[in-house]
Amino acid sequence: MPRIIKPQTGSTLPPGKRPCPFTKADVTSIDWKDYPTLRNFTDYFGNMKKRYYTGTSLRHQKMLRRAIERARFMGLLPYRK
Amino acid sequence: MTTTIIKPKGEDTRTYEIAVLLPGDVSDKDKQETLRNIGELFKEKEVTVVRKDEWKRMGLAYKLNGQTHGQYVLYYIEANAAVLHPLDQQLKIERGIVRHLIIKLPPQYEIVDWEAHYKEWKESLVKEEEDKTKEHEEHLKKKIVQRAMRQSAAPAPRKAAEAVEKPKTSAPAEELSGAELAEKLGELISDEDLKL
Repeated sequence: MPRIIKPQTGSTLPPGKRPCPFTKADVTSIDWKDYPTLRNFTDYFGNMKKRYYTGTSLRHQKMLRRAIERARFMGLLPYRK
Repeated sequence: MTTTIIKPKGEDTRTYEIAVLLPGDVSDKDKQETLRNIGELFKEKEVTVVRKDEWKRMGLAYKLNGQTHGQYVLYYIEANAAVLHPLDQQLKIERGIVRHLIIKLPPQYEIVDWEAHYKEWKESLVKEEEDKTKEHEEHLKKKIVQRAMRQSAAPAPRKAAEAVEKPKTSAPAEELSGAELAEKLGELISDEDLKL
């Protein structure tokens, strides 16, 4: 089972200096069907969280964006709540 | 749960994933027909299905073609790249499909049983809430016990202090009151040198 990954928004470190949660878990690809993980990286209104706050690295943010857009297209995640 | 890594067997083929969203309010007969049509399409295009994953009927994040519920059917396939474009066109034309998605899978892709994953996740959420409420209750209990301990321990020294303090304040008043006080006042008033 894949691990459910959570953003570093509650970290004591200041935003912009938080470690990447995906790099920590050695993630090589993000699946659009992984709803529990994707949900953590969208806010109440369905927007993607900024990587400045979540600490996600650029490489993983690009994967995440693709996965979220695919999930939105298939009706798994909302475009706008 | 078991996870299997899929690798392409042929030289010209790659592994892809085709996800199909079926409407939620459709009868079993129509659903089976669309699935059969898709199967025939795959046969026609010489696509080999490695694994088929049918999810349960579930709610959608937003209305799609007037549908609030839908069912996802996933096909992990092995196919030639040239086949994909006509396949995509055919799936678009196919009736009884709300949405479909064809993606190229990354190398060393592990097939996961997502339904079981959702179940596990939901159960963990319920467990977390229960743990939180339990912790809160325990914290409250501790607080109540601490307050009770403080109340039972505090009154004894307070009473002792009051008992000690009381005679000190009342003693000088008693000495002054009475006949002595009246005499002193009389002396003061009768004093002729005192000018008021």
